[in-house]
Amino acid sequence: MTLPWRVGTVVSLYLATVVGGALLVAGWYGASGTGDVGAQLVWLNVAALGLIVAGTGNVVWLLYGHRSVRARQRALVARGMELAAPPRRPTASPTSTTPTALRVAIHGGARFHRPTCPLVVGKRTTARIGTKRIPCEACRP
Amino acid sequence: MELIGWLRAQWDRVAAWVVIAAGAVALLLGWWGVSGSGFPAQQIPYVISGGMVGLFLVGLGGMLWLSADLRDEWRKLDELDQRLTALADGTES
Amino acid sequence: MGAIVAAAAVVVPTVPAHSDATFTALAAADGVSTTVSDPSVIPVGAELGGSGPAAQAAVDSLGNSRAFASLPYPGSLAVDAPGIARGSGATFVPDYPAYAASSSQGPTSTDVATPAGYGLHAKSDATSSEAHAAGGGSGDTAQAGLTRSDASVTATAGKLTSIAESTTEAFEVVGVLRLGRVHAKATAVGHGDGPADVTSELEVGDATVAGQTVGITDAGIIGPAAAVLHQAGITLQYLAADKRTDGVTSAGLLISVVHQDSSGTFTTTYTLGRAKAMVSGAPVADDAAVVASDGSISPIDDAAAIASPAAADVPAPTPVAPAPAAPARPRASATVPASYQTVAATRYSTASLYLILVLAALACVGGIQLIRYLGVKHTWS
Repeated sequence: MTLPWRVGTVVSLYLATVVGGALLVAGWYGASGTGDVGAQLVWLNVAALGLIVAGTGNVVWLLYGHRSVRARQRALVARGMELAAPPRRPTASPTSTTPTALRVAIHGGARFHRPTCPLVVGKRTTARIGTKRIPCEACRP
Repeated sequence: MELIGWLRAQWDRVAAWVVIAAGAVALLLGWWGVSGSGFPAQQIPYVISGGMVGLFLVGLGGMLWLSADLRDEWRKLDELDQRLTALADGTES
Repeated sequence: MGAIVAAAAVVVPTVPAHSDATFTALAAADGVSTTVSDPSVIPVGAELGGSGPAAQAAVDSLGNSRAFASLPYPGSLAVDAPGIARGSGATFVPDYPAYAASSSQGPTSTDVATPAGYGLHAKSDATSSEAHAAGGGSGDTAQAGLTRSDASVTATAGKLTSIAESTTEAFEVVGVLRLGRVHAKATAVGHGDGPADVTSELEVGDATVAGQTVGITDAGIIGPAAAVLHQAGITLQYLAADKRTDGVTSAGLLISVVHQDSSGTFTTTYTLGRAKAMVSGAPVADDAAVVASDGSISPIDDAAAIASPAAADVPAPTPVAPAPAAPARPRASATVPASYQTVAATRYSTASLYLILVLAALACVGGIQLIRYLGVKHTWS
């Protein structure tokens, strides 16, 4: 089963949480070791910094996961729409696709698509896709 | 047993509840400590160990909860992906 | 002797066994101690205030000998909080904080002259310290004539002495309650192991309510004058002396005034008297002069000793947080109890800060639920 996060992101989350928690513990330990309010306020700030670090790490983690989910959702919607679109095959040759239009790409785009992919329909495309492009996740050419 | 299986699958949601409960307990204990003394020198350690740690735990629990939801969504997307692939294969063949 | 000097240069991480070589003495006289609470400004009713003129002195076997004299300083928080700045936290204060501090490591003598000719004086040598503070002032609800606070501690062979004394003259509250003179004194003398000799006294002279002479009893002011006070929003409470085996806090008077003005209702509390003297142990005959060789001073600690003679805890780690949520580790130099932060700083309550943390946690949980329903579990569009 896959996850919306990469290993690198998981490591960052752990790091942020652990560092934040450590700063919190350090702040508590420091504050309880002295009776001088001025010194304690310094430790209070250390603990607050720990909260901020942990909070930021967690928020970034969530945002990243949210973005992954959204991107995949968009891709699947596009794919679903393409599948549900009225088939153009009757107007094409009996073979499933014409070789010249098997794969198209947008100028400057990083991906190549089926000609029927919603992401290229209506746009100027080229059949010269080269070797550097990656297949579109939506239409899976 | 079903419960074990459910727990395994939903471990992050269970962890979220546990962590949030722990955070609430920490906040309560911290409040009890803060109200037990009139001097900031005695209160500040409680503010940190009760208040800030409690907030930290609550935040962590919230993160776990949202992660659980995101993973559920991702699972749904997995299913959809499989179905679409099956559909696509079916249409093309 | 050399061993003791070396030991004095090292901060003791745990509590040493009670021995003849360790001793501490503390004297603190707060003058008039003021707190103001204004629920509308700080919802949880945190109290701000100051006290003074205050004099504190402390000496111990680790080589610390320090004295501190200050006029009350409410702290920047009170100055910034609008409704309270003009409240009685600022009663006896000039526009600037004034304090004189001395230490056996230097400066050994400090004098600060304040407006109106009052003065602050602190002096220390290796075996004794003393502080004297005098001032007076007025505010919204009360005013005082001359107030003097004195604190001194002396360590001699076999004897440790701590004396704290505070006198307030012509203390008047909203023009209704007037105390001609309030004098408190606390004395503690220690001879080594065994309980210290402690004495304390509180004298109140010329107390009048609306011009009528009254007497102050253990139960405060009784009789028809009590009704007059009540009408003026004043309550007076007699605080009994607190005697312990290692020290005494003299009796005192707790006067609180409730009054309203355009910025709200607030309660001001004045504490008079409550001089504190504390001794633990005593130097043995040839230990009279113990000086740390590297000049290091361990942070001495805490308001717990100043305001509550749970200074009976001096041989044990001061209990800061007995609850599981925040057990305090044994403090470094747990045998030294006094702290030289301005006494005013100990009046702040962190309760409001805590409330903010709790609200933040609730907002966190609420926000997350909101995000779940709006952001994550969205409908397919």
